Amino acid sequence: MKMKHWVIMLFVLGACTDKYVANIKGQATGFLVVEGYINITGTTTIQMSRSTGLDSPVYLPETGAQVEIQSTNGASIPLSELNAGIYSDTGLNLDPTQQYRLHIKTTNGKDYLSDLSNVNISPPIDSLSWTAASDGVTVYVTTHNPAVQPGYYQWSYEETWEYKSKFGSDIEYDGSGLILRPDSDMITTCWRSDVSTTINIASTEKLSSNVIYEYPVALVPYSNTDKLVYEYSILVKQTVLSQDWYEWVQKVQRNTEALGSIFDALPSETGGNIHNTADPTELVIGFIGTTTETEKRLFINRTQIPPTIVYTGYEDCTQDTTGLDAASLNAKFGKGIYIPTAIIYSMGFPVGVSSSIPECVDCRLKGGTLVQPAFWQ
Amino acid sequence: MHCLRWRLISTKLLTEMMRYSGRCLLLVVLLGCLSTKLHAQKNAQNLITVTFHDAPIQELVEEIESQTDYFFYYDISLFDSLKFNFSVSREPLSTVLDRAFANTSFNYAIGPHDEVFLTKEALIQTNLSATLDSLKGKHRAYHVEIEDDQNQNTKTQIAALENKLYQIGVNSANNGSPNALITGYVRDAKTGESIAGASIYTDKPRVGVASDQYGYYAISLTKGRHILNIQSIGMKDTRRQILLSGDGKMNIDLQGQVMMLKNVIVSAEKLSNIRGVTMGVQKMDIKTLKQVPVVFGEADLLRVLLTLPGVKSVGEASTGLNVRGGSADQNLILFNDATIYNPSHFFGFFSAFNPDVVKSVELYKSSIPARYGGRLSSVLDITAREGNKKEFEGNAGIGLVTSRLEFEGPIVKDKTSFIIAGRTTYANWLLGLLPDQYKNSKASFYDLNLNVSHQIDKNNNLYLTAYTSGDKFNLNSDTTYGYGNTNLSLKWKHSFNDKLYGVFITGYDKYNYDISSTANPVNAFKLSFGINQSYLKAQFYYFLSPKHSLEFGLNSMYYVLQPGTYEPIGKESLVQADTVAKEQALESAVYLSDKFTITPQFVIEGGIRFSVYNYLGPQSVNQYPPDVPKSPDNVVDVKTYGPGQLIKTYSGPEYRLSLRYEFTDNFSIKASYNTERQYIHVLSNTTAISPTDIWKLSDPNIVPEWGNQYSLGFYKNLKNNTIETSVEVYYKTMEHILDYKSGAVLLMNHNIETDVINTNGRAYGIEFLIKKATGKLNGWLSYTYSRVELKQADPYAGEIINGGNYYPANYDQPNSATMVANYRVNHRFSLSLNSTYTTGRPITLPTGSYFYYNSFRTLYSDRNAYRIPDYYRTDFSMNIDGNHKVHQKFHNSWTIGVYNVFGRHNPYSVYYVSQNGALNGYQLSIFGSAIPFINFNVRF
Repeated sequence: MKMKHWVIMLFVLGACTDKYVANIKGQATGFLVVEGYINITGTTTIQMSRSTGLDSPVYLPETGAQVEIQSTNGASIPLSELNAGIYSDTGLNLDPTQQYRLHIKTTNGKDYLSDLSNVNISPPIDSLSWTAASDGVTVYVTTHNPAVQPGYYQWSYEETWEYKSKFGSDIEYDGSGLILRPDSDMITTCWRSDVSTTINIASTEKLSSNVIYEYPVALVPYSNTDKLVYEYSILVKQTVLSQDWYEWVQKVQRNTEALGSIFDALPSETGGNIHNTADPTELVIGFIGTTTETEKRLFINRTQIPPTIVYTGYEDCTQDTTGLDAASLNAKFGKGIYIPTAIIYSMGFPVGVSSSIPECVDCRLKGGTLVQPAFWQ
Repeated sequence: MHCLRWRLISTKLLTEMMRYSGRCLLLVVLLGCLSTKLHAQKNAQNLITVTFHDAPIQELVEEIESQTDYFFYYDISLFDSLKFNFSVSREPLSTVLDRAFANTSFNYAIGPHDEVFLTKEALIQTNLSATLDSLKGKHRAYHVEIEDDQNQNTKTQIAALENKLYQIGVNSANNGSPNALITGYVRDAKTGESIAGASIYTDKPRVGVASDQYGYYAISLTKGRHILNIQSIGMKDTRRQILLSGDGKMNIDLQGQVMMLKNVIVSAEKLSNIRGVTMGVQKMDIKTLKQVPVVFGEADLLRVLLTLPGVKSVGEASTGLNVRGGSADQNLILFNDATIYNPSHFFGFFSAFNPDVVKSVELYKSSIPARYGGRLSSVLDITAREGNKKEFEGNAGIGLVTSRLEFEGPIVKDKTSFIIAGRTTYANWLLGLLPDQYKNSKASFYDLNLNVSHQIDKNNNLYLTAYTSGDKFNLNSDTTYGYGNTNLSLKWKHSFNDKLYGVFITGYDKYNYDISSTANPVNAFKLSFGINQSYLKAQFYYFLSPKHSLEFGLNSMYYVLQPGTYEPIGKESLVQADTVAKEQALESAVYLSDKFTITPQFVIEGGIRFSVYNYLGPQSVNQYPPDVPKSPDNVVDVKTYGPGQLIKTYSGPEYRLSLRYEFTDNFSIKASYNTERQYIHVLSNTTAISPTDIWKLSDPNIVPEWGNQYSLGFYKNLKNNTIETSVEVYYKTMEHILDYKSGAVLLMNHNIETDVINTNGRAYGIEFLIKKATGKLNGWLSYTYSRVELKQADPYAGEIINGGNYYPANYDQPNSATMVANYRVNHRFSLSLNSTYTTGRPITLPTGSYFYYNSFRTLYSDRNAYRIPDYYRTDFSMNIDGNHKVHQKFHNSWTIGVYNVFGRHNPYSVYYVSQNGALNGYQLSIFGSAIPFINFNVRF
């Protein structure tokens, strides 16, 4: 149900939303938060942190804990802490007929166990497709699994896109004059990546068979983002959840993403399936289940999209022109405030140099990297 | 030309005429002329020869008039005991009258144009101006008898009716009872429609009754002369002089109040405030409803009810009423006896009742008459109009969002009438203003009414009510929502005798909604939900004696509830058809109540209602062992029942008790105690009542709701009853209210008992009301302090909400104040101002945050621990009427106004969402600006 649309409608009726800051006493901080899943074939990553106050949300990684996967056949696989609060093991290949759980021992000596979970097998993603509408591109996922019904799916994704700075630059100022920019120093084309921040889940509970047809997993807008200016790629990762796991994720979604309509569901407590072995009343946020993961990648080139104006982020960029004499060059480029972009010729003779600020020339300043990803095509 | 023959004119009328109006003087002159013409010189000397033996006054008058040019004016009732025994021969009038009235207190006066005025005690000076002052205050109501009233102007007629003495009943000596019963109908003189809630009373002794919804009244008085006062809101006050000799009938026609400015010194409503036994009842007629400014300018009865003390709503987008701490599903909304399950249009922005069809609204929030039952909090009884029985007329209105058309008239004059009305919206233009991606959105609604009322004979009346409403909206052509009410009822009112009448009602109510989406062919679905109920009601009203008037009856309602069907649309759809099994139940009740008038001051109304609820097959019912959470894992057995098989019976008495003690004419105290049972419940996990909420019948796993209320009220009228004040306090408890577990799924849930929790509630409050119903400036001011708290009562629910402690309900708004003021500048122009303040409602706010799925997310704990900011709004409107010429074909009026004049951003809700990885708090206001509106109405 698209309650959100009702809100849009309210805006027309004169509705409005204002920023709101609550004055809340006794903030709920310091609860253990455990995110991730046990991936029996591949990489398992468990991310642990602590909850913080509402007024200044910060990420507080839970470091130094001992984390291990336990199996009903007695096996235990310890995870190692890769980065602060991120515990991982790669190259796992576990028995899908067993049940698994997570055992955590934090540095404050507390001991936590998740409930035992069965292994859910994720079927391959049949296809990723997309359509272009007036506001952006929607990416759909299609999958099916004749072996199980119903299926509970969750998708996350990583987006990567190529973009170019507003003004290309094949010259640079070496402190005394303009020289040709070496290939290794090109700063025009970048790639940037992002991860999904919203919850994407669907179930086939109400269907006669386990078929997901064109579930809209991501909306890539033309405005506010430059993802579609040149080339865009999305890697969709699919996991399969158990019913209780799915319901928990749905609750998190409802509590944290689906509010703001006139018929809001009332928010509810968020717990999970992880318990302090000594004190079951302690609130631990998170649900640890077991699944395999399948993924698929899709590329969308700008040329495939119907002609439209796409936001580039460089809308305000302009160029200046400077004379080629050493004094002018030094004045303009000596402090690094401007980057030369191209020599200007008149009747075959160089007469000046155009330039712009680094934000319009160096693509890295928008957060990307100059290194083309290995999967790029 | 019909000639008008006046026998006597009231001295009051005469003096008034002389004093004020040249036009009236003309009338008198004209009348004089007419009589003169008719009685042209018969006897030049005007000498009289008569012989009387036990002759009544009529004989004397007729005889003298036949012999002379004199014309008599007198009140026949004053002379009813006087008999004449004398004879005269060729004597002048003065001699004859001296003879006739010798040794009596009667006087006579002879005017310059041969008028003869007969009076008792007071002596009329025909030289009027000199004696006006001496007459003042001494006059009595005098009798004017009209023999031919076909073409008279109404004013004369009313005066005439008021001054006529009605002889009621046969004066038979063998009936020893000192009392007699008068029954009849109160109707609108112009349209013939019955008037409900008119009060009929005598001043000495102080006895009063109110007409019921059919306009029927019955009043028991001691035999003899009385003046009956009749008052009804929006109608001119009138009175009838009666000479009561035995039981009898009298119908009373009331005149509409065309000019509201000068008339009505005392209105019925105010007296009923003091005298009525029922407490916590609020009655409003459509004129009041139309004065209060509302958003988009459409008269909206639910919104106006929200200005009354004790009535609240969770916000502007909802017309769900919370009456004295009850939830929105605890109100029984009756439209001419038909239950309306969803009284709103457009998600809750408009109420689903066409103002042109509504006659009046009564809200019972404290003592609920025994004939009603099945809901815990209140009964909202909406009476529809019957249609003009005399001539065809209509109304049309055009507003920003809706337009409406209404037509009514007689099918058989004075016997059968109809009223038909429809409304529709063109709100799509609003949606057209949306961004491109919403250009395919549609929203529409309509409602249609047809009422037919037919008088078979004087003891039998039939009423047919048909109502249907529909809503459809579709946003971004993705999911379509639709819902509608359909109601049909047939009522037969039969008078067995003067003391007993019965009302027999049968009908069918339906509410259904569906949600469908075809955007994704594989997931294309339609979900539908429906309630059907058919009912039979028999209600008897028995005026046993002046001290006891009884009501009794029985009713039975058969429910068929379709909790949900989910089906595929199209060939490609893989949606698996699923149906939650239909539910059947029978709810029956018998009731008896007695209004016992111990003394005119002290009245007790006691009632008992015994309701029986049967949950019937076919059905499969999950069996759970006692003392464990009702969860799918704990189902020990599933029992299957065949069609019609009795699954579970709940029954019990409901008590209704109210009493009133009237200390003085304008001060009374009332108290009441009420219990209620409710067998059908809304399951909702949203704050506002939403079109997709489902209703659920009680079953073996879901017990009925039960509630009781104690209340006490003080009523005082000031300034000659023009200002009424009241203070009411109440305390109320509720049991087995349904709440839901965190993350409950309510739609298409086959084991819904596993997702709900039993909750108990308590509510208390004090309500102050000051009301001025008449005058240039009228309106009301109310203040309420009230609380409502809930507490989880189910120790085995598996989840303990707020640690099992009391927590405020969603609609707990402790302080609330409302002012509604109307100022009538002149007959054609009036201003209205409406101000409301309430404490912000409770809300569950996050108390912390955590990082999950690459985003900061909110962490919630206790329910309803915080409040949204307070609510304050002021609205303003102007009503501009066209001219008031009575015989004009079209009457038009404009309503222009501004809703939320100060453009205050009143919060509807406060929420936190995770957006692009960050956490943002917002306050949502439904109407974030001042909203101007304009409405054009035509009456034809």
